Amino acid sequence: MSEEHDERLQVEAAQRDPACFADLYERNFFRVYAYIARRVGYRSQTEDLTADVFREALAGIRTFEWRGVPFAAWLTGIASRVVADYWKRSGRETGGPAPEAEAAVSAEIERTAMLFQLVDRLPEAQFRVIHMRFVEQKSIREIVGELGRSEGAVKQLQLRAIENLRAAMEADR
Amino acid sequence: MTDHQAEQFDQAVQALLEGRDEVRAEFRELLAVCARLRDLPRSEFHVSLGKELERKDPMTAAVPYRREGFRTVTPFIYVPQPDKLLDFLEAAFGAQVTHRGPAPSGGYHGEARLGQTMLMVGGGAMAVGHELRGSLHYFVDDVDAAYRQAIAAGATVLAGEAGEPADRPYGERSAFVGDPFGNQWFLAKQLGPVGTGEGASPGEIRPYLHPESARGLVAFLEKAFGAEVLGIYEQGGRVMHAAVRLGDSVVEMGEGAPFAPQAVSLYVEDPDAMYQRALAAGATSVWEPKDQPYGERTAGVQDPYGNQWFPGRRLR
Repeated sequence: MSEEHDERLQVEAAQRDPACFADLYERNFFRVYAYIARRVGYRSQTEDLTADVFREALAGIRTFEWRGVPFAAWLTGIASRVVADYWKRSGRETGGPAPEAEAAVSAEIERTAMLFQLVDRLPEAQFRVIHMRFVEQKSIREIVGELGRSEGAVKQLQLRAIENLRAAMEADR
Repeated sequence: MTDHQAEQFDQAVQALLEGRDEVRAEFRELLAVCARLRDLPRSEFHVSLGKELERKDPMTAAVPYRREGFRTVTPFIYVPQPDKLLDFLEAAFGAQVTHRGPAPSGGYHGEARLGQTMLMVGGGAMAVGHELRGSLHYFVDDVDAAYRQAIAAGATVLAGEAGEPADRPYGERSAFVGDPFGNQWFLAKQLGPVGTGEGASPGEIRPYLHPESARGLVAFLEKAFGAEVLGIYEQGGRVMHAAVRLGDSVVEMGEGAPFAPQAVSLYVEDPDAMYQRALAAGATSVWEPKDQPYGERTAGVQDPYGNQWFPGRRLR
């Protein structure tokens, strides 16, 4: 089954029964998050706005019409408006990032979203190190305390995780 | 892959996380991956948003009343140098500053995450003489380490030697420090299953209020905001400690030591109703419920002991 066909079935299922929205959410979460994170500086704002996009998408799922535009593009449209509203609301209409070449940006976002997905597939210990280091911004010392492994082992896990991620990204190029 | 390489690589990662630009050629591609990972979402957020969407009826997918990541209670600190206070919070407590800058309604607005709790910071020149400082009970993993880091960042120990890290008879290890902006911090970790913190987990921050009458304030909070009493501990006719639950948060108080009134922001379903209840319970109005330019509807009331409470909700 092609990706597009697969997605189309998911959208139609969600339009009949919004309880099926979960599949679409999982499929697009990292993409929407990466899109917003690139345009908004702080984690809590990125989370707020990501939540807004999906709430709005769920509320409007029945209005989405299949016209050859992928569902992801529809979501990106909502995200772009939500971000613009955010900058307007914070009284910094010119505060947003400068417009960039659309195609280059969307390729960038796809790669970031893919990377986030790859992190989810890392072996447990590597996954935890990556999350503690980059999301929680913990020091190696703090991670050592939580994982109960030696400092050397944690640093090895970190390096191995990043090497795995890079290799997987390369493989997909 | 040697330990040496892993060590060198970690130094490069640390530099990246601290925003220092020291890209070493041999790690260039790996660090490009790391740079993207700085935006990696929290797993908890990914999961909780998914669950929220599952529960929602799309027809009434109304705006949730509070912002993602916020609890019912958010301490609000109003000082002349809010920007510097945020810097201090970063250095002393590893706070993540999530917002800083001019407020849409004028003045200054800053927000920082400390563990599981957000703090709001405001003020500027207009705050001189109108400060609302915080006295906060902050639960941490390691009191001694938190204490050392706070002192290194410019905090001073309160109450002399008594403020240094120690096991307290009321079931917690704690240290008391003051920051350069006049706020006080009780860095604490519960020793037993339930101490005076009433089941606090590390990363939680509770406003610690100092009313003339704790029983009076508890009664006010019950009537005005539907607070649930968790415990009142009295000694020699004085309430040494009391705690109440407000939504998913806890507010504490004691008559032990004097401290100026504080400010607390509250996320509630219906700020208008809350405002009316507070007035009926004896509060005075600071401002009537109104839609704010930042997309929330808020009200302000002052309790009979001078503390200010800002019930509000999101509008969009």
